Amino acid sequence: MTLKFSIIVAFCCCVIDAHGQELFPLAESSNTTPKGVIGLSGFAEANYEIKTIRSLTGFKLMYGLSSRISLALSGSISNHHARKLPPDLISHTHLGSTGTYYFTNYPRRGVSYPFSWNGLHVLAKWRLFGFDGRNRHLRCAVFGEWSNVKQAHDEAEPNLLDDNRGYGGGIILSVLEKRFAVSMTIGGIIPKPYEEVEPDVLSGQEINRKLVYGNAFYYHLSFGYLLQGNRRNTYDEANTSLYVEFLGKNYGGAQFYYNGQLLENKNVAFGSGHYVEIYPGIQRIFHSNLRLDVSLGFSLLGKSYVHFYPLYRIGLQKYFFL
Amino acid sequence: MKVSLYHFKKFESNLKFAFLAGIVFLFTCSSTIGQNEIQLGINGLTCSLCCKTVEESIRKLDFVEDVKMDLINTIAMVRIDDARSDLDKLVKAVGNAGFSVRNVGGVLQGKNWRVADEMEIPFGKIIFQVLNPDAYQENSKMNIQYLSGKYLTRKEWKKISIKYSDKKMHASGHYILIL
Repeated sequence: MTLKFSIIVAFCCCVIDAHGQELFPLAESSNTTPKGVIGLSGFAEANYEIKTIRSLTGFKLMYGLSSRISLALSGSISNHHARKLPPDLISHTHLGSTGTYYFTNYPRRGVSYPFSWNGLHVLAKWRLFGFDGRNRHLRCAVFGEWSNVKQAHDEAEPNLLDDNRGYGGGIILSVLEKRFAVSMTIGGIIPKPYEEVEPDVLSGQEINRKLVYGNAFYYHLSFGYLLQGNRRNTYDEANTSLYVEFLGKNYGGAQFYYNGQLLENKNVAFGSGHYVEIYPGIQRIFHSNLRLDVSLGFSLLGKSYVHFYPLYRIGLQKYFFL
Repeated sequence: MKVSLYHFKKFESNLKFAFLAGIVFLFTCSSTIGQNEIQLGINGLTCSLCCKTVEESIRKLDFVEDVKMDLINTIAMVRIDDARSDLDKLVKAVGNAGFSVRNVGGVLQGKNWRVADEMEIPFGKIIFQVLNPDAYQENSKMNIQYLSGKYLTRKEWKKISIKYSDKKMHASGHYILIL
């Protein structure tokens, strides 16, 4: 009993008069970039797809337009896609005199693709309201995003950063109380279809291949805890925070059109899906400005067909005060 | 001859009066607070990155000479050029960084100011009305709080404006409370 009480007292002493932070490694924060400040972030993620390493490297340029509105421009390169949709994405059977029956097929995994520029992604965030207190706050922001990414994305699940063009938006609510931070994001993605033209091997005629992706609804629940830092009145003291983020997504199935004809889907990656991933992460902030995030993603419920697990992610971010 | 002397003495008396009136005018109207350190209590600060952001935002103001952030007590000590100062801009700079001010404090040096019911003290570009002139102490330093609808939370402002309802305070007005 005495030991239990001592542990509780010791824990309370650690928490009192401490500060937390809500700079989540993956989930978008409800905080906007300060007015007139430029933020630059670099990030990379990788996972093993059988024997191939799938990776993505990107940047994010942030700017605070006003005290409540900020813009972010992101771009990335990755080896996630072939230049065109994989040839084995469609299969067929000959039906004798009635012709050929085409259907979508699950493509091979672990195929090596070249690195290519995905495109640009723009995110605008508006902090709706905030209730600030000493060492605590509740903030709410809404955001809209747009992407001109045009990749031969061969899965139903849409992603605006590196897979699909389209737009989306959502709402973020975050609460911070001393060392603890919690954030919840709810958003949606409306992707635009991918279309390409390929000459037919036999006839030489151009064949139109169009992939229409389903809309997606996603939700993030992130928890942060300041492990070390802010005990002394100096900027040089490094802060360390631990995070656990839950990323859930629900998306509709994709439809494949072959020369305007909707094909029967036999590709599991084209079906609708729902999954929840867990990302434990650690964050270190050096000299109160340089932020290093490392996180690792695992499947918790269902799975994403976009990447394999575990998903390794690293990010570096710095603010430039003009 | 007598008439001339009489007129000269009257002129001398008027001159003395004008000189004294000038001195009184200087002390009552053209003096400023003369303090160059402002203490800003800032809400929403939760990490050293937040503090740094606020500091950089305050430093951009041309009348700010130095800023010292107290991370533990979430306070900014701002040294300013009081002749050019503008507290509204100072509070706005904190807002631009994404945070809010919970109070604005300072020290007032008593300097023969006119003590009246409607005591007004110019500070930089803004004229502040003293809410409690009875607390004014001649030739001594007084801790004060600068009040405005922009400097306080809505709840705090409501509380203050009810307490001093006889002053008919406006949220856009500027006031000083001697602590």
